Amino acid sequence: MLSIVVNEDKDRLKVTLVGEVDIYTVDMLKDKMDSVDSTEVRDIIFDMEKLDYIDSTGLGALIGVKGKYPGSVIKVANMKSNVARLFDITGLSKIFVIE
Amino acid sequence: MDVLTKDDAVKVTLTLPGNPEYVSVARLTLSGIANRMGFSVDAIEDLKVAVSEACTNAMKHGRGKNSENYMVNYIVNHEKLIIDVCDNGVGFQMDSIAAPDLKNPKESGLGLYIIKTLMDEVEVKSEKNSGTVIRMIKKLEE
Repeated sequence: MLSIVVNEDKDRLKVTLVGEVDIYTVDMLKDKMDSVDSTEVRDIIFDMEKLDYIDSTGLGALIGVKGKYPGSVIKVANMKSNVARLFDITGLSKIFVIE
Repeated sequence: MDVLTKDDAVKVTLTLPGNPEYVSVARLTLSGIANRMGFSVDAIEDLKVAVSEACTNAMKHGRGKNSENYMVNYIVNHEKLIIDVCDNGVGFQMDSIAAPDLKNPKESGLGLYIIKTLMDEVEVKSEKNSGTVIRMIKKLEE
């Protein structure tokens, strides 16, 4: 399962992911990101401290977010080692800001 | 893809519906089997991703019906775990399993690359209209 908490603070968007992102739950993430009022967004931070699992479906969704906000800085924070490993092997750790 | 089984080989078969909700069942089963075999926590995490990617692939390249089942075979064969994910879909062209193009990242197409990176051996057999088998092998570390 996945739960998503979005906090909007001026031009900063914090997205906290809890649980698992896979082919079943990824649509929740996409829908949530689509529902965000995007006009003012400059920074997006995904907090993954409590994200236990992600695979290519979730990574694809994050790439989609990057495509939607080309002028934004997208940060990924607090990854568990298994999640960070996927960012490393796919090279996505080079296109997102890792914290 | 016949398996050269030893007498002590064990096979566990799951038949899953082509419903994304059930991919987690393939991961849970994998965890139980790999843990029993003695794989490390890190290796089990890798295996979970690989089996999920293959299941995701089976659903994407299936016949587009939620009711279409696919199979996951877990074969405990001596010092390695063999996982076959078999669908009856339309098959697909193995055009590339190249590393992702970071200058032009795409939302899809990462799955097979990830499987190849995480597993020791990967074999894909896909024929038009006769389905796809993705075989993944992970050896137990010494």
